[in-house]
Amino acid sequence: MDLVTLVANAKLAIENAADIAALEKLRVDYLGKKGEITNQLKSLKDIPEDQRREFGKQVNDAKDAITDAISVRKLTLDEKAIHEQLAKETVDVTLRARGLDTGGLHPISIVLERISQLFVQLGFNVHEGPEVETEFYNFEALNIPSHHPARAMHDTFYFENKLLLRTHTSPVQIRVMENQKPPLKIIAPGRVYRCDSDITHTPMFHQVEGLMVDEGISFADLKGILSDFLSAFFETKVKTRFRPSYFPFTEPSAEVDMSCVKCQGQGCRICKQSGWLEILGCGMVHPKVLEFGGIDPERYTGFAFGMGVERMAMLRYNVDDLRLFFENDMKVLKQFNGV
Amino acid sequence: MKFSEKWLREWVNPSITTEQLSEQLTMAGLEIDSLEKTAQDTVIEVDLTPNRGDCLSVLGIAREVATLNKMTVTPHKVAAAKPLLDETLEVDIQAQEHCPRYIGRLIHNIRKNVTTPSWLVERLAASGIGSIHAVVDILNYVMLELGQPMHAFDADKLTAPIVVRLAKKHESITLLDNQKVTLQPDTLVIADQKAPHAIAGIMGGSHSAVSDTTSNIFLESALFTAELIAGKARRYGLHTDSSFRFERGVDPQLQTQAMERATQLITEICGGIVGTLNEVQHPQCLPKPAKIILRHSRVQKMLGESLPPETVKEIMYRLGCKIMEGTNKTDDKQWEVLPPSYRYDLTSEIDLVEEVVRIIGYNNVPSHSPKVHLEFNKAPAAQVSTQRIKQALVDIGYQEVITYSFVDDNLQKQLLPDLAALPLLNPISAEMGVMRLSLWPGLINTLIYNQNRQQNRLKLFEIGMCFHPTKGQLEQKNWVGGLISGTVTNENWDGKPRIADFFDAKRPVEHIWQILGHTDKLTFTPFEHSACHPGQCATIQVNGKSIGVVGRLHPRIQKALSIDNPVYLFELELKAITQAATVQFERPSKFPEIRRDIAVIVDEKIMGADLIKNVRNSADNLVRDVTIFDVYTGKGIDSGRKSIAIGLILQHPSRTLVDQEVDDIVRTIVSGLEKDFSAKLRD
Repeated sequence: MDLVTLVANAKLAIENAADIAALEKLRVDYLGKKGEITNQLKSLKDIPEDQRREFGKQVNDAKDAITDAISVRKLTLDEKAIHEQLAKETVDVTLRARGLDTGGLHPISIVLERISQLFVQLGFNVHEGPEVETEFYNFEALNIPSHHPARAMHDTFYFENKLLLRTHTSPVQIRVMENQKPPLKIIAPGRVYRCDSDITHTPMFHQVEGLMVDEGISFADLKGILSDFLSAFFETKVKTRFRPSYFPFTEPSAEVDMSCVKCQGQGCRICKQSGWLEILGCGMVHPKVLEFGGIDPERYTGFAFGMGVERMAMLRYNVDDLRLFFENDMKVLKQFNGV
Repeated sequence: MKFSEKWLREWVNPSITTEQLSEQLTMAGLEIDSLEKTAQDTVIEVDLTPNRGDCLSVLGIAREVATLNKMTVTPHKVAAAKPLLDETLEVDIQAQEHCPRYIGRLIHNIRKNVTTPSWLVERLAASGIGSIHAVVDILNYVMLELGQPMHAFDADKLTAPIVVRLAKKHESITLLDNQKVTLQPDTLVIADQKAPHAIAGIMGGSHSAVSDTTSNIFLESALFTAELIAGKARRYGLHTDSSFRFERGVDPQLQTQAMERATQLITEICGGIVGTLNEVQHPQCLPKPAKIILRHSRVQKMLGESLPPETVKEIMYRLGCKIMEGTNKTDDKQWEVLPPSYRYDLTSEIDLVEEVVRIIGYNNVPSHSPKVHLEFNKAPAAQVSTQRIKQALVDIGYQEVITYSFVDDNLQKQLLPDLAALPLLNPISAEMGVMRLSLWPGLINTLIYNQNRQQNRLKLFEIGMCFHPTKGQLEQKNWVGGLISGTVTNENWDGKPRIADFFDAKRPVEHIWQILGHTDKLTFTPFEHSACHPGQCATIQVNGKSIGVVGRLHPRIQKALSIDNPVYLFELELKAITQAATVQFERPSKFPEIRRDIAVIVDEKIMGADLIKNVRNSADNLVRDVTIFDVYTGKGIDSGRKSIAIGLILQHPSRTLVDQEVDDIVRTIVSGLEKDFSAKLRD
């Protein structure tokens, strides 16, 4: 067989080698110790001397051509093998990740923390107080003496020895004033209790109390901070109006209404067609309360406010039944995961 | 309080619409709850704050409307009736501090079976008061008009003199609503020589009530103090228009005017011969009219802006106050202000300041951000926020819940039979009867609630206060509590998920502890807890101090509560975990770590933590880490014994360990285990 045919045959075989093993066999067949090319080189000694050089070159060329062809084919086959391996490893990317389990915060907790953080940003400190309180802290020190009609309005839970469940977070004001001197900027979030249970009342709910006492704090400051807070909380410019009200521990006292977040003040079911939502109570700290807290009311003035967290949460998340918050139905709570 | 707009406009009639009037009153603090239009009139319902008892009458509202509109109230002069009967019932006020003034009057020979005129009935109806008897209707009318509650007795049923006194022990009275009440000795009664005839200021008795057969009446217009009446009506389960007004206070100068008005209406409608007006009063017990110093500077300070002194003065006049010009300091003006008798709520300077702001209108006060002095927060950095702990639990799949702080005593007793809980005196229901001693009752209730709604896979936590009465003291502390029950993960495509066990309940505990960077070791010691499985419960300790419990709910309790899957619970005292130490950096060793594994066979009661402690003691500071990586019982191991595989990571701080010394360390460790636990090295 002449070299040209040999190379042509080899190239064809290499081209058709199905896998690395077949290719390796071809390499042995042509280039191995007993291979065709090796045999050709062995026959070199039988070639007339004047042709030997020329023939030798031809055999070497043929060897190079076959070697190259094998390399090229090898690359292709390697590539193919990798592809096959990868194809085998393909997964169903739509299947769910393993071990997934998401928890979540209670919506009241989320709102409580959000309110707290907005005030913490302004330099307010967070304080806590006991939930089982004395009549002194819950009422007397807040200028609500025992005969006061406001006591009846509080629907208080009582224990023996004149202990009670705090009806508001306001006692924390007194506890802080007893231990710290102005300037004071505090908020007190927490649970409060009233013995009332119907569609719009649960016997336990949450409030955030705020207190700021310093020289020169005025009603205008109170209006400013609460209007700004409501806009920040609801992330929209809300209109507010301040209505005179009565809390024994503040004077002047006010109820704050904000334009209904649902209908922008046009009137809807949520705001009972009034366009306004009653959202918090506030006022200038009563001089007697400052005195109870050991603060000179001539030198210092201050404001206090209190808001119902459930109401804020209901407005923010469109929840229409207060009682849902304490049933702890997973189908309800899980909706707030990731909020 | 509900009242007829037409009636109000007879007293003051500003040129504004009903809606404007309603808005005006609301923005002045007299919140209008509703307007009910009828063909001829509008019924206005106002929700008054407890300090505005002076507005519990048409006259009171009229005064307010007049003030707001810079008008005056139309005077309704009633001439004193000329008595044609020189007779009265003698009145003896024994409890003067509770009743500083009592005015009585006899009217004889009133016509029987008089029909109350329809205009009067309509006005009462607008205020939600039914027609009963002409005399009673008239007294109710006067109360609505002027704010003075009154009472009429059938004079023939009384044995003079009338005594105003506190109730005697075991005394009782049958009231107008026919309920018999045993009186308590702090209750004021109107009595004659035989028996009490009325609970003062609250309700009259049935015996001396006016009826169709009554012809001689004795009228009462008295002043009872708010302190006396407060809370009494509620205590007797009575809530009357009279007690509601007295609780909030009645104008101390109103009694005579009311008596004359009632007399006028009764003689007009029922006829009768008017007796002399018998006024008994104790001036020393009457409320002293307040004299209040009002400083212009104080008004401006509270308001946060300047306001001309003339405006302050004008507002005082509009409110019916008298003003004495006070001293003029160089930069301040002050007045001595005398509020009118009906504004007994105005007793101090701040009350007047509020009135000024209220009349100006809260919404006319400017609004600006408070100016503050910047101060750094002094909270220590090592103080971990509760929020961080919540977030850590959320991140490992726990759902926060908020349950009531009062729980069912029965359920709590099932879990904690040895502890006494704090009972509420007036609970909403038995299921909310006592304060919780633990977060577990609430968590278990939540589990049951959700199980009933096909939610069996639960990982719950709550952070909140628990209440422990101990030796007369009440301990109120915050706890972190959790529950896991059902499968650990959701059902997935790669096999059946595992049912949670004890070690899943330990996870949140150890997770919180690690994530907060505590350096002290948390130790778990077997523990007997009334609510837990005796073999699956541990007390959690730090430095020998118990900070919580983790365990499996006792299967007996689980069964009693019909809970499907085993329940695992944990509880940690919040304060014990929120104080983390500040990190003290330690340079890591540069020399190679060497790992050696050993497996020992020990009695099955031996605790893994004890083995680890022993290993650490044997090899002290060269052991970097000790881990139990396998626990095996079964084939090849004698029953009652178990095989424990321990991985050791050894490292020297300042040089490379050589094989020889590593072998020595391991030998020491093994012989320590052999000696202390009769351990056998497994080949």
